Amino acid sequence: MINLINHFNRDRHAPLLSGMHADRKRLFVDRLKWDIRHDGLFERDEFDNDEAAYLVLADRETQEHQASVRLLRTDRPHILGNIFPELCEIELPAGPEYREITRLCYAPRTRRAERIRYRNLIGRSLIEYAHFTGLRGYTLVTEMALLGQILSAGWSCRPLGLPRDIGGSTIGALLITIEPWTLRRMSPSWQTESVPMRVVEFGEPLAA
Amino acid sequence: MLDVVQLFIDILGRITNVVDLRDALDAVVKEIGFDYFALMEHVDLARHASGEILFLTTYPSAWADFYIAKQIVSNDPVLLASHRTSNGFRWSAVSDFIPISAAHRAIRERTIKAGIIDGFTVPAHIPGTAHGSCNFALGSGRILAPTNYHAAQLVGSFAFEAGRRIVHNGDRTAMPTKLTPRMIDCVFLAACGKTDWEAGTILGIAEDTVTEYLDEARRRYDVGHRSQLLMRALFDGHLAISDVIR
Repeated sequence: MINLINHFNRDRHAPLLSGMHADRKRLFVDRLKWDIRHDGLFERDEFDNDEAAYLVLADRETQEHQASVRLLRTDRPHILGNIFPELCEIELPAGPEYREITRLCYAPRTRRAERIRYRNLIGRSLIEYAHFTGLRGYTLVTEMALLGQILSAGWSCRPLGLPRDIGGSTIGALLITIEPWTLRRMSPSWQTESVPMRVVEFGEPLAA
Repeated sequence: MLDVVQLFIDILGRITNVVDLRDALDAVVKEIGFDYFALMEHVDLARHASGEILFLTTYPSAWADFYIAKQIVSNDPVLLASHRTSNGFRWSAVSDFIPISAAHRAIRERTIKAGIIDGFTVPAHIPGTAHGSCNFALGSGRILAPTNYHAAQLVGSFAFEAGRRIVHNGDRTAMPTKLTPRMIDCVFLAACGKTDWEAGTILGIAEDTVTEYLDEARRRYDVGHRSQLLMRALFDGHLAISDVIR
């Protein structure tokens, strides 16, 4: 089950979001040694605000966090626009039709075979979310070590600039364009069953 | 330099055969400051018919032929190093990743004699498929600017993806011998030194079932011993060395 969580429904998903922030701390701080803000238990930064949306994969039975991604608006402060602007050498794809993929994360306890399944589910939900909300694409800042795997999905992907050596790794900015045929053309190794996405709680309240 | 890379990616989108890929890659490799390339999957090249696997190169032909005939792919220090990292690396850094043996040094000397002096390798590790790499070579000891290497990082990854798409026609799972997720779990635990009983306890299955999974995996690889199975599973990318050594 993929849960779409934003500031309208996050209170109802508090335990799941806590689990996500705890796993983000375990993965990005403890395992990958990223130099980012955390409080010892949870990794949370200034972009985890009212404008952020999350696609969160939860265990069907326990409702525990399994994998997640944070989507940031590109017409508001975001990672590529505000922290690594030098990674984009052309006009920054920004505005209501683009979101930035950040903090793509799986629970560090996940077995390897499961990780692929989670990757595929998150990948598919990103495409469905784009169709659902009328997005043209996603930007992302990534380590070049992951570029091959990102390209292997089969979606249309382009660099926004040359990679740079920052903080001991080589990172670069990419644009993934979502087209009507993207889902159909996903490579076999990324294909997955359709994702049951909970969207019933999504959107602005009809009346205050 | 970005526009050169972007143009190359545009061309890749239209390419449907390896001949065009070779020409396009040859052109962009020179534009970003290198002389030769080898775009390849790390499998025993002598045992596969051409066209079955991705192997494209502009290395001097005497060297490429020798490389295939002597099966150097399995002991090339650059390729072995590329199994230890997902980041692009300069060949001068190979000893950061693997211990260099006398045999490795001999291969390196032979490479230099063939006119391949220095280079940069972009590893391609896609889970569930054979390892591969895009290698950029220099015919002299000249030093390139960091932007050249960064451009090569992009070109290498995009070229590899395009190459595999063409050669395997989108079927990325056809290449390595198929193991089921449960078999991979058992192979992984065996590689970590677990007995069948221990692996069974960890996975919550019977000891005999673990033995059966490993026997079936050996049959699929047509090998008699578990140590061979572990090597083949590593080679095919079912396991990463970094998974086992942690």
